[in-house]
Amino acid sequence: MADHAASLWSADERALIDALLNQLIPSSDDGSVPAAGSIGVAAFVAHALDEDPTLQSPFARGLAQATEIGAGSADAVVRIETEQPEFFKLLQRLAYMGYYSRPDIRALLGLSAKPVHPDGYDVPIEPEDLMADLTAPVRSRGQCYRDA
Amino acid sequence: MKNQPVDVLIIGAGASGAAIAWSLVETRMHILCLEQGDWIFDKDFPSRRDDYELARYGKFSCDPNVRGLREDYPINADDSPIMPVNYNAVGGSTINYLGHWPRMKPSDFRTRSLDGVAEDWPVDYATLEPFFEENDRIMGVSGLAGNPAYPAYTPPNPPIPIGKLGQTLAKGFNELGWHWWPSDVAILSRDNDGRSKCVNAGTCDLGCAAGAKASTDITYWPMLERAGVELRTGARVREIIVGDDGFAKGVRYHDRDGNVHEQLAEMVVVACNGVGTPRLLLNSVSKLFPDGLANSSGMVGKNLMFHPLSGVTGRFDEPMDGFKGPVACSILSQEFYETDPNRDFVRGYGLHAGRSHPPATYALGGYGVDDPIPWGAEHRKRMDDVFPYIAGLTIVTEDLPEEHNCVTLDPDLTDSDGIPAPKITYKIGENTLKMFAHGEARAAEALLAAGAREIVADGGGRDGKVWRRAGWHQMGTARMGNDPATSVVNGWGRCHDVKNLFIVDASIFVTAGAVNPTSTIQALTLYIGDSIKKNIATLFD
Repeated sequence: MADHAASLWSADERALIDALLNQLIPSSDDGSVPAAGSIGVAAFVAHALDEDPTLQSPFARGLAQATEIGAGSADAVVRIETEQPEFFKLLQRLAYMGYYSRPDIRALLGLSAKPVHPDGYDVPIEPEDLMADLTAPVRSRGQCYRDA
Repeated sequence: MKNQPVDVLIIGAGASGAAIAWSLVETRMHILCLEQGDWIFDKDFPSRRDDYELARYGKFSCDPNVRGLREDYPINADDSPIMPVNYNAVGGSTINYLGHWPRMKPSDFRTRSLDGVAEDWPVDYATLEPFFEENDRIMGVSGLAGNPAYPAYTPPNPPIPIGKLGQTLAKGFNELGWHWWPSDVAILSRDNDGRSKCVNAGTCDLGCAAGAKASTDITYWPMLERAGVELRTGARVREIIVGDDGFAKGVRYHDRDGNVHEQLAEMVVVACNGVGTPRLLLNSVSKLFPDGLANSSGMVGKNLMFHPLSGVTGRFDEPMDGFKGPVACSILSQEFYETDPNRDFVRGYGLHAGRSHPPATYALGGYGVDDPIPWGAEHRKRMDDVFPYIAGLTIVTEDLPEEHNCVTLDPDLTDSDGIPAPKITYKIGENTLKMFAHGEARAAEALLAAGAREIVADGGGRDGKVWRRAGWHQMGTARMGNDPATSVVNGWGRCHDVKNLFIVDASIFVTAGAVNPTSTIQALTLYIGDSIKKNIATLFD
């Protein structure tokens, strides 16, 4: 995927996309959670454009405008969001998809890095007495449906 | 191409198609089921892939227009705030449903008598009770006996865990003195009948690779195949053919390669859901039935009901682990289910404590709405300070039947075989909007009573926005009734106009209740099968 991103965009365009991605999903203050641009989510964006060619020209048009604005500050990103909404929404959506579907990011958020099958998650079944205690007030109120 | 005639031809291999086949097996009739989709195997489910969440937005979307697979038909829902969702395969939408399994309640079948709205069903809860029980056993339902919101019954398996989220919210409901109960689910809490128990992966909507969730391809169909029921996949029915005598003769269908086949049968059963069934009937036009088959009442396609839903989310002090465990549902409150004359709406709603989302789904807006969370500094805050700590309640409302909510045929749109596609015209009713207002306030109250620090504008609830992808439950478009002038089928699913044509899916529902319908769909189907067997000597009189 990375190679494809390299061939799709010029170095300047790629730098701009990375900067935009870093603004969309910034790193945590202590740096333990990385920003989206810094871990190469641009490659996912390139791959998505490849998969759905109908997205390519709106993306390219928006990118050209964004290049003139730059992505050095949050204000610049707000301008892109306002002036190129179609491009911005597409990039935002792909950024979230590409970033949060990565196993390494998932793990940082407390989820399993592995696919959820076959292992899943360990959630113990509540003991019967706990459920009996929890449901006691509900049972004590008696029937709560209408006879018909 | 002509095929060997059969006794019973069932269209659709989903929840109701499988159940009717099972009910009729003992008659030893030659039963054939035509299914437009294919078998899908657990190895193909996305939850075995690293990027499993992305499948929700692509080839495993619940929206057929997004999937766009060969076996899908497009649906024009431009005139509806709610998009019908489904799956087309052996198992139908039980492949990607959530397996939430509440039954309809006694009052749901008697809304005209009790509340002066909609119509009474020609069948009642007590009549369906043994069929609920039989079906729960076959599907492998888990739940806790003793729910005071229903006449007494015992689910065949103990409940699945309600988890930290469920336990927390339960305490809130207790604090307020409101009803709640662990949800019945068609998901195994223990290994049973050759199937494995739930592993709490949280990806029920992407197909259950553990086989714990009861889709009919792994519950009914293996038994049906052993019993000699013939299942033909990749077979998309174009129309039901009618003879000069007014009886259904069989169907014309397209195979995978587009070849048209004629399949004759003594009796035809339609099981294509509340959108697919009226579509097929409206596409089956003949000299005798110029306005669509079995449509002398004009009710085919009318009275479409969904369960419109919105939600409210609270942020708690401790992580809620919402991504662990089956999506829907942990616990269910039916405190506001029945009509209360002190409220400004009739009938009611359920408060469903579904579990929450994994991160990509959360960031993109949740299961029902495409509405990404903010970017930038606010994004960081949401993901770090809100996402792990949320629990929410969805308000699942009873939709009332209104004729203007309907399925018609789109004049231009077709599926890949050129068969006209359905068009949805639907507006959320005034009664429902009042329920939303009431339900959102009650949901917030319950979350705060459970210890939520604050109500937050994200995480599935999204400021009370109505979910777009909420059209799981498609009901009412070929309704049951005793009067042929105002209904399509009689009290046991036989079309008033065509005596050897039956309908068994949720299109025959008279009202919607405020619960997920599959449990009731299948119980009703088994009841219809039982009625067919009891009336077999005079079935077509």
